[in-house]
Amino acid sequence: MPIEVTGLDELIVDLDTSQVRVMANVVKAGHVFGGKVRKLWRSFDSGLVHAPGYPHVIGYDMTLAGDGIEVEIGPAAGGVGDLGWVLEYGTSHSPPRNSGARALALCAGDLEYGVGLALEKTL
Amino acid sequence: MTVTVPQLRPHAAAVAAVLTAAFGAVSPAVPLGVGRKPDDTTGDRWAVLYPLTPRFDGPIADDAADLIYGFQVTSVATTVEQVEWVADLARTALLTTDLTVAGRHCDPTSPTGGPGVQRDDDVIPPVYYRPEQYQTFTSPA
Repeated sequence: MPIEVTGLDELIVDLDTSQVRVMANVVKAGHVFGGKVRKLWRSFDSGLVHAPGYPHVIGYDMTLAGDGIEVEIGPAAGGVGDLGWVLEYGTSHSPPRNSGARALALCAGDLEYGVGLALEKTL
Repeated sequence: MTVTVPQLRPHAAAVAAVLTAAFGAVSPAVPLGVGRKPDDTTGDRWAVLYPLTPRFDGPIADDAADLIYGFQVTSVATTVEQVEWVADLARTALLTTDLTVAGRHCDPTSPTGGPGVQRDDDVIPPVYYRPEQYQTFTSPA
């Protein structure tokens, strides 16, 4: 019984471009993740009497690294951003706020979900 | 349906017990404070244990049964060498001793990070400190 298979050319083209589309969606997921952690971290560290401007220096950078992405989230170096270590880990006489780690832990599942969704949308 | 509610206080006590045993085995003993500087800081070194925000997890029917218990040990001393020594003592004790919490199984403790030695100029005389964070996963025994 003859079997007719059509659309192979389209499939080849589709597979050729899928890597680019996966990457585009992963980048989108990275931005969503970075933005979410930043927002939570800012909310945890807002209203500090001694560092009212600190939440505004918390940001994120995303770079393409090899075949993936790298998202770096935290306070910018310099100025009030230098309080980052002190607030996150405390000092010899003050407790850690641990806001960055808390925000990251709360959003870790979102990154997994976002990347999964990115792959699902592409394929 | 049985709902498990992990108790945090016994976890903090278990960590404190491990650290107290290690710090008590050296002479002079290293004082340990929980959540604050220990009362006796007449020596030139001490440590403070800070419980961090816990994370709960578990199966759908008992979704808080498991606990990821995080904590920080801040080692403090008047010299960099001393602060590294206290931090090494704490790290060795925590990574080689299983926590004992009644009714719970505790996985080995693992380090989760922290900055290097910092100098605290806000106190007089200045001291050095090294914060190190750890976590352990515990589940009903």
